Amino acid sequence: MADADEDLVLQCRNGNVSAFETLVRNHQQMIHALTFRMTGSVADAEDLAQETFLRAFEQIRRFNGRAKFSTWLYSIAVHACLNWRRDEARRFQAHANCAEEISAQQPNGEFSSAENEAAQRAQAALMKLPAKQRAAIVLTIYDGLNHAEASKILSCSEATISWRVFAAKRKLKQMLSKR
Amino acid sequence: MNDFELESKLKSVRVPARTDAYWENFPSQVRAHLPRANAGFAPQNSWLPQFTWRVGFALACAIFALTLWPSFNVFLKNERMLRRELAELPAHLRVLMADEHGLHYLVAEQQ
Repeated sequence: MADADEDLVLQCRNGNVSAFETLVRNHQQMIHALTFRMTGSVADAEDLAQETFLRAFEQIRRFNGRAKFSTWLYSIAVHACLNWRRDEARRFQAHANCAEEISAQQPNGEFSSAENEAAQRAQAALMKLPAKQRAAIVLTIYDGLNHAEASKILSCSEATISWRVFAAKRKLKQMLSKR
Repeated sequence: MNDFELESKLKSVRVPARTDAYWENFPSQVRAHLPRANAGFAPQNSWLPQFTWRVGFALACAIFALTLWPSFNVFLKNERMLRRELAELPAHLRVLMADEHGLHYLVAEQQ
């Protein structure tokens, strides 16, 4: 996959827009998952996913191939999410939407209402974290990256990542233990 | 709550599913927005801008050097003269002064 990506990147650099479209197709689900976990809103996640790919296209000449294309793209997406701002009303609306979306996605009672409620609480707790701590949790827990990989994506030291993960877990445990 | 329980709870949150049509259309949606980004993307004719900058820089250096060279040359000439005077009058020279009329020096009668 990595070689295929590099080949597509080379084609992009030569002005082949269809090659970029293929790159988008290959990575769209991964980027949407990340932007959703970072924002808790489907609409914002879609906007940010689109913004990520547009930025990637603009900056594709800067991709030096030292990291995998997916890692580079991930880094762009995370920074787009960290810069993402919304006012309080919008944040409140996003939480409400998020709860509805989570409820709506459980097909035919696949999950019990208790599980559904737990998922909603977990997502709500995640959204209450500061953005950088949330990013550390998303990268290390949902995407399974180690602290070194996460530190490269977030452009900080491993120690900083370790601290953010520790602080975030502590807050999440407090929030999710409350009844 | 331990770390394992926390991670299980967090992982219970699913990303909302999207339709196949959405995934099918998304790349074209991105592509539709590309012309805006595409402006700076045209394959570069890389040697021309670099060549222009280099020629410009070289020209600026040449103009700077040509402008400064006459005054620098005068300075060098004065310095050579001073050294010569110092060599001819060891231990006698008290004051050296340069003005618009040239170089003046005061020589001590005694050492």
